[in-house]
Amino acid sequence: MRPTDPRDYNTPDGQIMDARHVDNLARAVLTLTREVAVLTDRVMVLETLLEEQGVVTSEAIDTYQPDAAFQKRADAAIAAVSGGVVAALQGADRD
Amino acid sequence: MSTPAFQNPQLRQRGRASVDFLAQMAIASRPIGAEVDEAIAERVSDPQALPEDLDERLAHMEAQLADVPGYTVQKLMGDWHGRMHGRLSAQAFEEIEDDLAEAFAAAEKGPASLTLNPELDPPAYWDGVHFHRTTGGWEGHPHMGYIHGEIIHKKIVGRFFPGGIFQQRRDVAAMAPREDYARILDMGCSSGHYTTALAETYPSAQIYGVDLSARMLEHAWRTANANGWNWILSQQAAEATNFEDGAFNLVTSYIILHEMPAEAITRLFAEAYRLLEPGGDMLMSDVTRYADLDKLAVWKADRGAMFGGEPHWRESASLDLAQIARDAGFVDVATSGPYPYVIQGRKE
Repeated sequence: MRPTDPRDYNTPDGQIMDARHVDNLARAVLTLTREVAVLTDRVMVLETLLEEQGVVTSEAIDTYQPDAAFQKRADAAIAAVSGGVVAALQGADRD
Repeated sequence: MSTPAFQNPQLRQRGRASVDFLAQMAIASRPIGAEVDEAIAERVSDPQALPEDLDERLAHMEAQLADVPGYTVQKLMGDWHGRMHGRLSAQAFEEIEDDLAEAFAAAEKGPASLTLNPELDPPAYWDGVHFHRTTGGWEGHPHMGYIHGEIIHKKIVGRFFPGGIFQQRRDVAAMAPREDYARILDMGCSSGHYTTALAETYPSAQIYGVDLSARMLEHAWRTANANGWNWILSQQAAEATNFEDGAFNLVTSYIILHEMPAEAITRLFAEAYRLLEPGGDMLMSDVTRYADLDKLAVWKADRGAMFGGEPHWRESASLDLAQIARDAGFVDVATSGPYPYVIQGRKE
């Protein structure tokens, strides 16, 4: 129905997302979660290299190869990021 | 910077963290799976009463679990993984592609041979199918063989097999009854993982491999060269090869049959029989038979196949492969399982 009150044009109602787009939104949430995980890992590499070497380069960060201890910490950090998002998607964060 | 090893590459940070995330997502979904299993136990009191028809069973279970949040999230995560694992792995490869140029060039020299067939008329069951939902299918990237063989398998799938994903291949390879095979054919050799197990298990054999995918064969070829193996690889359908009758002592395959419809599988067993010399051995493996699973397990497998890029799984997993082997002429047919399901036989 076309609005008759001109003020309704200020913030017009209208459904933006149908079911298909809601699915895509959920996919985008996971894609963003991946970006957060990658950045979390990168910060951890940066911290590790700074502690070890004091000065780091982008190349050193890019080519850093985790040892078992780092991998364990990174896995835990990514699990925390993923777990929070997955819980929210399930509605498991309701009080 | 030193030249990286050809296999099992060191990824750069973004690619490494991305594939780690893919693995962690699968790990994160495990508690959800447990929640879904609990819901199923509550709502499906008698699994044997589930519909016989698999499409009806799928619809029935979707209705039963529609309001279980974990099931929705499980589907979402599976879908995202299916859409993204190929893309992210390709991106991870492209970050190191220049680093690998020297190793690639070196791996193109060596004792292995590769014959591609630009005139290949690919079968309809394969052409254009994105198996495993790999983005673009097996030919979807100029280096898909490397991406699939070295990154998806070793950096993602391998995370779930602490003992190594290749031990199962070695175990199957070792099931053949003899140790002195001179000529072995790997039907559907893909990027060469099972072929590697065959080479390690039967080091004195001349090993042949056939596959439909040029990109996968290229990686198998480079892998053989990098390891000094003289594999003879060619691009052709396993069910219709150009080898002479009786050319091999052992014809074998590793979990390839579920990527083929029943008609092609029947022809593959007939081809294996034709290619074996009298007394030669057949050793095939594949996914668990639906007949060996209860109705709920079949539903899980069938749903996973439907949304996991496995168009032929249902038809293939429903077959009696032992009977197909007998019909092809094999004797002493024996099976073991449930996973991998192994079929062995001999040509008299």
